[in-house]
Amino acid sequence: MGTPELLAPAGNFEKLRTAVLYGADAVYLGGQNFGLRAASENFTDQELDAAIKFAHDRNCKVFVTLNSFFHQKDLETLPEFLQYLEALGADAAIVSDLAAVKLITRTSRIPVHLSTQASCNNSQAASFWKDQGVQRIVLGREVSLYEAQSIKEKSGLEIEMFVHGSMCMSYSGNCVISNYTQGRDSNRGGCAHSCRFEYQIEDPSTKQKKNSFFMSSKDLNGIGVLSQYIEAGIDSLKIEGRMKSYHYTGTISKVYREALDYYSLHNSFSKSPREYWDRELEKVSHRSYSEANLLLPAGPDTVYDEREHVDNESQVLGRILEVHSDFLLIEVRSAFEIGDTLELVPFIGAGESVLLTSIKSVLDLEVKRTRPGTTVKIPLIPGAAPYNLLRGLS
Amino acid sequence: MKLVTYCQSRTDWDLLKAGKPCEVILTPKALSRFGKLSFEECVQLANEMRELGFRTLLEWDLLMVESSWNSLRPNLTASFLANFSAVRVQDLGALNFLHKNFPEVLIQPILETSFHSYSAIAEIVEFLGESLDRVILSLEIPKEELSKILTKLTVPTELLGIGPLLLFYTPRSLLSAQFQNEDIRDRLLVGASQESPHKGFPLLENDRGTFMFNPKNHCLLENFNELQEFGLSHLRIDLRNKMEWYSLAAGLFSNYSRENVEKLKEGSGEKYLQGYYRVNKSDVLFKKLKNQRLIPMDQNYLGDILDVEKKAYIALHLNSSEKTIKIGDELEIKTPEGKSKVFRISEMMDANRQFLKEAKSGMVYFPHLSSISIRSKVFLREKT
Repeated sequence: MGTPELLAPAGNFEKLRTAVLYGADAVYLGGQNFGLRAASENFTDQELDAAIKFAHDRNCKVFVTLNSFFHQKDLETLPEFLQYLEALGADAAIVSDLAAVKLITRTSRIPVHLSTQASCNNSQAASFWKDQGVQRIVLGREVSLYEAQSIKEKSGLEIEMFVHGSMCMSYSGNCVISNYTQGRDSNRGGCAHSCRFEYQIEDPSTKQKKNSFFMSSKDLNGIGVLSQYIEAGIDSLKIEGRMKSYHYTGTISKVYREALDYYSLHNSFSKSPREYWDRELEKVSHRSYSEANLLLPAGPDTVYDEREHVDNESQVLGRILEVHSDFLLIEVRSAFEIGDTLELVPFIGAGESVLLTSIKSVLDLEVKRTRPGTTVKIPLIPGAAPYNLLRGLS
Repeated sequence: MKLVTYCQSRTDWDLLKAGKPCEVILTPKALSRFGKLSFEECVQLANEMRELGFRTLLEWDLLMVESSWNSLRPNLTASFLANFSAVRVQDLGALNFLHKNFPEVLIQPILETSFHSYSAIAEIVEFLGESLDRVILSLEIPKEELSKILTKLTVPTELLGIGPLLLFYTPRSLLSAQFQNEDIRDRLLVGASQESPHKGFPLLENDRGTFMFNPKNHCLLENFNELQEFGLSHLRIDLRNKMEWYSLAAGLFSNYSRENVEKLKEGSGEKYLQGYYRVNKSDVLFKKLKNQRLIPMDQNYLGDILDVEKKAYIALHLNSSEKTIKIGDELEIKTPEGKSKVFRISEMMDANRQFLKEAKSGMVYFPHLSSISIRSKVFLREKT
């Protein structure tokens, strides 16, 4: 049994590079329009060209999000962009709007993946979309692995499921809180994440009041049921998070890459370094994890009834820009100093801890403590490569 | 223009008869988000309604995962569906299932979510063909666009005339966990955001999920005549929790007056809005969600400034391996604050402090320039 494709988010070029180098088989990204992440940097047309070349040179596919719900005026400018994407060799378009699906299937050869925004949750819906020319369905996050297998068998379509990351609490595409409270269309990229807010809930009949983050979902973590994804024949495992940091993108991609490769080699996860993977997944900023609906319908324990916070993230010190014969050139993101222990996160394999004995400026002057937003030189770490992440060890 | 409304119980039906809606929506608990009727009750009421000349509509607006679907499937027989004039569906799986398995069943697709363009609506119209009864249109289409759509569409159309505005729908049970000692299911609670000024959100949990509504209900009745002129064929009156006001609402269809609309709105005790009817500018704020100066919308973009050391250097990370920069080239730097600076490359070094004549990738260090900050974008100026 083959292992599924690992699909990682790319909110900008830096994150794309990180995802690709840390093992993604495919990345998804958005242009400046038509996607659902208006606040993300996204890609200019020129960057798209470079991104697709970068990914393709490393056997990584690029899927472009066009998954907003289109108004008529939005559709008018779509054909030109489609032509451009086709010329660049984009591997698929991720779409949720029926008019956009039909436009793409009628006028271009770009494969269409149905976005989770379309809330396709059953085989009858999958069959509908298949008839419209869709090749792959990104199932709604309400669907269990068992149901996903059934949908795949009945529809004959490729199936993509989320494996990790933030969860919409609402049926995707069916939440318009932002539209009516913030004047921002959540289904055209303006989601204000009102579901993460604290609410006071009152029962008017008893006057009882409760404060709660009742609409906020815990994050999905599918590492514990990865074998079920594989056995269900899921074609692609999607990591959520175009708005998240490159540390997140790199770490999560690396863990799932290693897990999938492990399965590929051993045909099971028995004796796998699961605890190591779990520890790694704890190092990035996240809400409490749950398996949501993957095995059973999500219960009350899948609500993240807390204020958002990021105190569980390992400190990202920076990334390696260049590897020279006797030093590494580092872009500093968080301050560190001589005597600190750094962790190099290689693209493949376990991280390496290094005691920092020297830091030099670009002008080769001694530096005791670095500043974020600078470049510095540290002694060469064997095995280091450009764009490896450096983390702090507490 | 015709009136459509809901019937959730026999009591509702007694009220409805006098108001003479042209069509009545029956809401079975197993298929409808807020339905309360059993299938048997739906059939009984449908038979009575049909005898009195009413059209009856079966509402199936639940979104369903495969297992829910499988358990429901045996109930959806031709003989059951034949009791109704048409079936209203939102889930495209339900629409596909009915269309393929029961070609004789008329379908009213609920296109309120995700169908905001004529092109998308037209695709559904074409797909359903003879099975289409009418389309229920999105409230997010502003009137200028709506009038165009209604001119082009040759099928009957419907909009919500008055009623609650659903903001959020999940199959998860989110409220009962908060009130563990009391049964809050099927009771309207009220939510107030603690992080924004918004309050008064009606909240409901039932065995089909949890729902949040807008504090203000939606009302387009003031635009009755305009909508009629546009060619809208049906307006829906959703007074499911305010049935005592039904007769006044129904009266508007035979004798429309603004005064009666105001009377209805005031009497219902609800606040109302017209939503996006006049204009939909829900995408205009997007440009403010990020610093547009950090978007390198130029094909001559080279990379970003990653380091600035006062009186020493500025450091450019070349993102593009497509372009080579050389001594003598002119570069433009655009800062996140909106400043722009043009300079000619007089010298450049690599991280080994070796002078370079040209560079294509990696880090390049130039002599310091004032007013340049990190994250500035750097562009190659075309030679003229």
